[in-house]
Amino acid sequence: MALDVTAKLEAYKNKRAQRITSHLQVAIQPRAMILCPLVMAGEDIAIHALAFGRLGEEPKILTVADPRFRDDFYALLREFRKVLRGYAIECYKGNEYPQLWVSSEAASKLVESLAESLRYNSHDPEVKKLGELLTYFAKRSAVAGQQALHTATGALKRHFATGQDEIEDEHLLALLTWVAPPSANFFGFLEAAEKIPMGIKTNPEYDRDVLAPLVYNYNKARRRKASDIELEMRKKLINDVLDPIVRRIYTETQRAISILRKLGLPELESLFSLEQREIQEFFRHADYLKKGGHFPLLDSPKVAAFKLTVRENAEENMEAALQLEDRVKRGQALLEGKMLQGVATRSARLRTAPRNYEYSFVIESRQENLRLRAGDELILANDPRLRVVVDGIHRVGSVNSINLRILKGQKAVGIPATGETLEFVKNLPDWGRIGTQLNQLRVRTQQMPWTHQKGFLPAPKPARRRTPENALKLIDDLRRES
Amino acid sequence: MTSNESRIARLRGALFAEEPGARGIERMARNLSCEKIKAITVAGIKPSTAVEKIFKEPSEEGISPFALSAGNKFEQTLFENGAAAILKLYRDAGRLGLTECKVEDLSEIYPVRPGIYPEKQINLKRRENLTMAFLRRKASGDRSAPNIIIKPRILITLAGISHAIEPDLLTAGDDDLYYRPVEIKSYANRGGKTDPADIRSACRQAAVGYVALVEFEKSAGFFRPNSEPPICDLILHKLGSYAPTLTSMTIESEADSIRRVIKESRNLLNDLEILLRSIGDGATLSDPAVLDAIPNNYLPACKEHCSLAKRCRKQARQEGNPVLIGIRGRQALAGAGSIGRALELLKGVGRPAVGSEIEIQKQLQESSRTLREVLYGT
Repeated sequence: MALDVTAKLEAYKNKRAQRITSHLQVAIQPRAMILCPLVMAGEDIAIHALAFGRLGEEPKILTVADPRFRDDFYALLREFRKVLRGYAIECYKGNEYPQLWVSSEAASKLVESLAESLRYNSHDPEVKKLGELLTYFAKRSAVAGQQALHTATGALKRHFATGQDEIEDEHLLALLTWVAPPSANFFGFLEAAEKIPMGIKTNPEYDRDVLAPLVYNYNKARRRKASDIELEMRKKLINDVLDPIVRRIYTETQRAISILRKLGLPELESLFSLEQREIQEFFRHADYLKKGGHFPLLDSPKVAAFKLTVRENAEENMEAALQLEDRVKRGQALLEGKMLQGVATRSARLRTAPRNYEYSFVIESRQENLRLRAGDELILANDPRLRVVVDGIHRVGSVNSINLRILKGQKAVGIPATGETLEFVKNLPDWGRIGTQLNQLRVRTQQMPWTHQKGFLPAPKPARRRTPENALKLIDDLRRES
Repeated sequence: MTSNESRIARLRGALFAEEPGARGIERMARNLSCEKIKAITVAGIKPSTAVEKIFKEPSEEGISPFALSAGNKFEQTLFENGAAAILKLYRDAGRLGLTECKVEDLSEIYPVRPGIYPEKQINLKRRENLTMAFLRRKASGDRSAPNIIIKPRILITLAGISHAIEPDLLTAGDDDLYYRPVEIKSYANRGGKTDPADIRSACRQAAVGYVALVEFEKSAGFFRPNSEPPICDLILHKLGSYAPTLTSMTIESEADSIRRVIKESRNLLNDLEILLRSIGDGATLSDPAVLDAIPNNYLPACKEHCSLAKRCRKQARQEGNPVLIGIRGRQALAGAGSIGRALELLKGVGRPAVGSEIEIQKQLQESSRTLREVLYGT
């Protein structure tokens, strides 16, 4: 049974989220920026209100009376761009990377949409530059282990299991109710929390009853060329209804980050490597923009292959890192049989040639769901210098006996002592491996495969065996014979 | 009123009948194990009506006026000037030639103004008849049949009763014998990043149109060969603008799920009558106690499309349904039956574990022990 199912069960019983990590899994930049946009319903990127600010600080709030009017919407974007650009320059000079926090997955997807839409903007160069800057966060968000763009809900979910479904966990205030529950009437509080907007849109009833009439009146005044005083007054009315909504989202996002910091957990070892990687990626992006680089509408197959490799590599490394460095994930991996844990017994030395020996030993394990087979290569979790291969697996009763032969590390680590409890993993995180993989890919993609070459079809390969002229008749004949 | 309609009216009680539409049928298909959604859909009650008029609570279902305005504006840009934008879209995609420009807008031919009865009913019926006439012409090879039909109206049979559904468009080239349903949605086409849940919902709605078309063709003696795969077109808009995009989607599994709904609905009326009789004599769905007594199949995703989700979730809490902690929780704890029983197994209290509970207990205790060891060292 997955640990998180048990944790969710406990959370439901206690009406309090259950922690499911031993280490902090996200880096929290001390000067990170929090970004909380509200988009007008029915629109893709027309931001009605935007709250932003640094960690621990009060938000600056920008609103637009009607973001469907491009000039007003662009004015908001230009204003925000100044701040974001200032933050990016500060990070560049300080040899750091910028970090954005948003409330939930919906806001993260909005950052992607904004980047996609604005970086090709031909009307306003400043808005275009904002899109290019946001592209850094959007690109990184797809890579496992990235630290550039965090969602408060995602970060909390990595550390806590609640007693509700994961879809419901995407509502930040509902999630926070589980993490920091009230002392009484838990489900009443939870239902009340769910009604408060925490994503990127206001509620339809609120739009209908409050916001839409104000926007409608503003537009009417605009059409009849009302005085500036009246227009400002109407803008303020809209600002006054949007401000508390977006401010609340900002406050709760801050609270989520504060909760994570106050957990007092040690950081995952790999976080250092991940942050170093983030700095490199940010500098690469910034330098590309400085050189006037542009972003093609669609990736070429070669670029796509590179990007996929980076993502796969990140995914594998993160899984390996979590198994090794987080005790809860390690426990989960042991329960699922993805890691081998057992007691060393019966070591042996076999002479294969003059002055050449093979060393092997047996691990006895009581794990029920072992996912191992002969030929699998394993690495000693506590000392990666020792590498072994599985020669055979036998099960007697509830005990698995796994024959392991040492491939590397005999001199550096030696044969494990009989009775020693050991843990083996299949992969170790290797954050430098991507360089080698990309170089290999570079060589391979010098000649694109025929599937990606226009007007080229390879010649049919000659059949290995002679195929009968009439296979059906042959089968019928065989049937009749039998 | 047919005999089925009278039976349904009796089951429905005091409320007026509401057409389920493609959305209602699609909602049933999403959760075919939910007796409650099947009962109210067949009886002609929408979930939002059930919440407001039967349970007297605010339904919280509604569309923002901004979203409505955006959707209407998008449709307007598509339909204006004789659907010029749609024709261009299909020509650029190579689907229609220059001469294939016959457009029939049924909403203009037979306009329907809200609240003006009986003109509304008469014109809706006329739309149905005209749509069927176009379908017959197309199926018999008439090259003068329209290439684009805007706001057609087709009938689909659910629980023995014909219901009208309105796909956004039907489209076909002069050489095609069958129309293809088209759904227009006002969200952005982001390629592979478009929300899969939105795409699935749109495809299912189109599948209702497809199944209705096939049903009509069969009844009229025309028959779509199996070699014609079920396909629909989705018209979305480019990110950040109203420029339309056209994407063809195969809807084989969606059409299958709609066919399953239609097939299962044939016995639904009998089953519903038996169910209500078992609740009480003269029980109707307009009675909140009766509606509460009908079993549901609450899933966390119900919130996306059904106003009754909150009530069903409350019921699930009262029953201790394992689905409350997620679909994986429901699967893992199915043998235990409830959260309460799962907790008993975990703590080793209550009646001894039997059958599949034994394995669940072992796994729960093992994972709980592991969790305590790694977190607290206990």
